[in-house]
Amino acid sequence: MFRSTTRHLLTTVLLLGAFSAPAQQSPPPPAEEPPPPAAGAPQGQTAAPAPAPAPAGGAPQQPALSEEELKELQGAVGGTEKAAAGPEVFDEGVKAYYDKNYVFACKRLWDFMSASPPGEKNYGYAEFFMAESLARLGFTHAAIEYYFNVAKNRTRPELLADALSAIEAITRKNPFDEDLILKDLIYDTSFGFLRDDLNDFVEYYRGLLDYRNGFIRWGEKHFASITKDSYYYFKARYVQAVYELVRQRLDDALKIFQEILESNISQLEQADVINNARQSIARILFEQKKYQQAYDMYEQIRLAVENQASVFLEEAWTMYYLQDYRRAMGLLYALEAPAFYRFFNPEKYLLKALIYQNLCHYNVSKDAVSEFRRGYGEALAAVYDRVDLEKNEILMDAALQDPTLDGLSRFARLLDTEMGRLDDFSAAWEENGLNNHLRRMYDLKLKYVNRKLKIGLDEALRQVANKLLEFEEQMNLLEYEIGLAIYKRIKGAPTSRVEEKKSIPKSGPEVYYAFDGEFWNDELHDFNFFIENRCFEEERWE
Amino acid sequence: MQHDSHRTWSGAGRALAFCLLLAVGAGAQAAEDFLEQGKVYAIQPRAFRMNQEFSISAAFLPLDAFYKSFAVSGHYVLHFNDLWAWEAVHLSFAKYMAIDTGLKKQMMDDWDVSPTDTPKVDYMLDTNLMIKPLYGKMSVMNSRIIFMETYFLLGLGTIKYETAFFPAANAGVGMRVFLTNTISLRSEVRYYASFGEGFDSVLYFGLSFCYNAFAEDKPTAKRQ
Amino acid sequence: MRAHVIEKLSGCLLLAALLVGMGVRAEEKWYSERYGPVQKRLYDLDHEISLGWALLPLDAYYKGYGVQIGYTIHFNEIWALELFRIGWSYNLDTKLKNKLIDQIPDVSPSEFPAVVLWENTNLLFKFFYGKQSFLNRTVIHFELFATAGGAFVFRNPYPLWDGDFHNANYEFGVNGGFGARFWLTPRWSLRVDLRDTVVLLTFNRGSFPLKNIALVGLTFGVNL
Repeated sequence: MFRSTTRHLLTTVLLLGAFSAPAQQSPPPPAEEPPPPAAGAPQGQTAAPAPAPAPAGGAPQQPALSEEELKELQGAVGGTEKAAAGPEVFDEGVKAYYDKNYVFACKRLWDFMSASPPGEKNYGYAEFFMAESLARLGFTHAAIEYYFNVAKNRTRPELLADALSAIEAITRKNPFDEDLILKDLIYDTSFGFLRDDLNDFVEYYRGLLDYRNGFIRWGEKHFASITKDSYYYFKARYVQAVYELVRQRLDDALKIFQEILESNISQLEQADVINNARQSIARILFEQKKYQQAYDMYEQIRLAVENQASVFLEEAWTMYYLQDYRRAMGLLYALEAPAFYRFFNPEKYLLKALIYQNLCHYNVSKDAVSEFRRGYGEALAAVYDRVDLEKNEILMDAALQDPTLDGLSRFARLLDTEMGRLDDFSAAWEENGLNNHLRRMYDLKLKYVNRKLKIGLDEALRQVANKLLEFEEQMNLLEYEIGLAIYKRIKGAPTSRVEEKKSIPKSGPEVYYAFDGEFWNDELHDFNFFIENRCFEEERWE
Repeated sequence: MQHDSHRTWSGAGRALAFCLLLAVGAGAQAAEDFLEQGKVYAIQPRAFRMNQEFSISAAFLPLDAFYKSFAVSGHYVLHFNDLWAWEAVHLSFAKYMAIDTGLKKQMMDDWDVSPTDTPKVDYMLDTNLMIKPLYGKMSVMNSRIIFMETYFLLGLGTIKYETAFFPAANAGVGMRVFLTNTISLRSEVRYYASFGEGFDSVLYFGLSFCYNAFAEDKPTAKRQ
Repeated sequence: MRAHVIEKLSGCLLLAALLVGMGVRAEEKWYSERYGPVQKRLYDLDHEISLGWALLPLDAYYKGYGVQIGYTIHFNEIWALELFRIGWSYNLDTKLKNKLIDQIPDVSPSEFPAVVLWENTNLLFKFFYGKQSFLNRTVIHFELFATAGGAFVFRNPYPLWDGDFHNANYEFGVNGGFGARFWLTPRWSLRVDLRDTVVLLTFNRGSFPLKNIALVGLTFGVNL
C-alpha cells in the first residue's frame, strides 16, 4: 500500500532545493530590461553612471538648451530644485534619518541620489541611509536593493559590515530576493575579513548553495568555518542531516537531528529548525517502524495549528500502524477543521478506507472511496481530459502548496503588500519621483517572481496531477479488495460479533467533550472516533 | 417593621435554578453512559485537580432593606475526587461590616417613623457538600484558554444574628477559574434559610481566592 | 473600620484581576496565527431578539415582576450593542409599604413611585466564551459578558391601567452589569442578566435622585 513518508522525506529535501543532483532547473528567463532611465537620472538597481546630457552646441537644427532645460524636457526632474542636489540635500536627509523622520529622509536622499552620479562622494552613504530609512518604514525589499548596492559596489567599504548585518537581519524574518542576495551577492562576491556573525551568515548561504548545486565538499568546507553552536551552525547541521537523508543514511541523519535537539539551540529564535528536526526524526522513526517513539516525537512539534496539517496526517498513519484506529480516525477528523480546508489531502480518504476495512466496516470503507471520487473527481477529469491544469482550482491550490514554491509565493505576497503601501506615501514622495521609482522597482521584481512562479507552478501542477492519479489507482485497488472481503465466507452458523462497549466515567482524570462541530485548537490532537470492530477471528474464515 | 425582601429573593432563586436546569436538560444532547459508536469525543487529561483547598473570600449580603453587609469568609474544602468534595468549614464574619442603606433615616425624616431594629448578621458557620459536575474551558477575549468548573453546594449550619444563633440550611452555585495548579478563583452565590423566630433568609455573593494544598498528590493524566 | 475593610476588599479584587491577566494557564502549544482558540464557533450570534422575565428586588417598598424584550446586534465575537431592552414591571407592595400606609395617616400610596417601564441601551463586552462537559456526558456552551450603557425609567406609584400619572417620574440613568448566556441550540439561548441602574436625573422634577435599581433578568434569545 502506498506510503507517503519516503515522499515526505524527499519533500524535506526539496525544501532546501534539490540535493540529489546538481540543479537541473531551467534558468529563469532574463529579467525584462528596465525602461531606459531619463537622462541624468541614475539607475536605482545598477551602478551605471548617469549619461551626460548631449552638448547643445553641435546640432545645428536644435536650439541651444542648458543642462537644466534638457533635463526638464526629458522629464527627469522638475524645477530648479532638482539641479541643486548639493551636499546640503544629503545632509538634510541624514539629519531627518537621525531625527527618525524616515519619510522625509527618503525624500531628501532620493533628491540627492536622483540628481547625483553614483560616483558622487556621498552617494554610497546616501544609498545606505536610504536603505535604513526604507527598512524602518517596512519596505524590506526596497531596503534590500539598496543594501545590495552598498555591499556589492563598495563605494564606501566601511559600510560593508553594516549593510551585510542589515541584510542578515532582514533575511531572518522576511521573505527576500534570494537570487539577488544569495546568488548575486553572497555566492558571487569576495568580502575579505568579516566579523564572526557576518562570516557565519555568508558561509552558511555559500554552503547551502554548494549543497544545492551538488558541490558537497565545498559546502562542507563552508559549513566547517561557521562558529559552533551559533544560529547558522544549527541551520548548517540541518542541511547536512537532510543530505544524509537524501543518501538514505537514516541513522546518520537521525544522529545529526538528535544532536540539534539536544544542543543549546534557541527555542524561540530557531523554532523552525527545531520543529523541522522533530518532524524529520519522527519520520525516520516511522520508517524504522518505531511507531510509538515516532508519535511521541510528533507530539513535541510546536507549530501554529494551521501549519500542522502534515503532522496530523503523519500522526494518523502512525496511529494506524499502532492499530489504534480510534485515534487515527480522530486525527483524520481533525483535518476537517477550517484551518486545513485548503490542505491538499487525498491521502486521508485512503487512510480512512483502510481503517474501516481493517475494522470490517466494508460499506463505510467503500463510502470513503466514493468520497475521494466526489472530492477529486473534477480534478481527475481535468487531468484525463488534458485541459489546462491551471484552470482547475483544486489542482492549482495543491500546486501552490508545493514547498519549493512556498518561499517564492511568500516573497510575491510581500512585494504585493509593500507595493500597495506605497500609496500611503504618495503625498510625500510623488513629487520628486521616488514613489514612481519604487513602484517600478517593485513591479519589475514582482513580474520576475511571478514568471519564476509560473515555471515552478507548471512543474508542481504536473507533480500534483501525477500524485492524484497514483491515489486514484490506490483507491481503485482498495475498492477491489473491499469487494473481495465483503464476500469472504465464514465457517459455521452466521452470527454477529458481540458489540464492545466502552463506558464513560462520570468524572475522573480525563474529561470527555462530545464533538459537536466546533473545533477547539487544543483538542485537535485528542479526538477519538469511536467505532466498533466488526471483524471475526481468523479461524472463522474459510 | 418587618420586611419581606428575602421571600422575593428565595422565590426568584428557585425559579432561576429551575429554569437553568430545564435549559441544561433541554439543550443538552441525549446523555449516554457508553461511548456512542460513530461519534467523536475529544478526551483530554484534566488540566487541574483539586486536593485540599484553603480559601478566603470577600462577600456581599444584599438582602436586607435596612443594611447591606459585607463579609470576610474562610473555607476549607476537602476534595474527595473530581466530582465530590466536602466544604468542611465555611466561616463568614460580617460583624461591624454592615452599611446603613439610609432607609431608616428616610422613614424618620419623611414620616417620623422609627422602624424596629432588624437584627444584623454577625457571622455564619456552615458545612456543605460540594458537587462539581461541570468542568470545562473558556476562551478569553478570543486569545487564550483558561479552565474552569461549576459546582453546587448544599449544607447545614448556623447564623449568628445580633440577638441569637439560629440553625440554617443553605444552597449555592459557583464557578471556579483555575489560574495555576495551586491557585484558583471562585465566585459564588449562596442562599441561606434560617429558622428561628420564623423564617429568615440571607443571600450571599462571594469572591474567593483559593489555594490548592498538596496538588502534586493528584497528578493530571498524561495525554495518551 | 468600614472604609478599611472596603479598601482591603478592593485590593483583593484588584489582585484577583491581575492574577487572571497574568497567571492564566493557556495551552500555548496550540497557538494559531490566524485563529483564536476556537477555529469557528458553532454558537455565534448576529441579530438577537430576546424575550423573557425580569425581577426588580431591591426596593424596600415594592418588588417588581416584569417582562422584557430586547434586540441586540452582535458585531463580532467580543462586542455587541443591545440597541434596546424594554421592560414592564408589575409591582407588588411589600409589607413595609402596606404597614406604613395603614398605620401612618400622612402616608399615601402616591409617595411610593415604582419602576413601571424601563428602556436600556447597552454595550455588551463578551469576554469569555466556553464550554463545559456535564458529567462527561454532554457539552454545554456558554458565554459571559459585561454590559454598560444608559437607561430611561418611568416610575409611577400606580399601574399603567389606572391612568393616574400625576406623580410619575421620568428618569434617566446609567446602568451596568454582568450576564451569562447558555446555548440550548445554535439558534436559541438562555440569558441571565444582573444589572444595576443608577438614576441620575428626574426630568420632570429637575432632581438628581441617585437611586439604585437592581434587575435580574431571565430571557430566551433567538438568533435571526
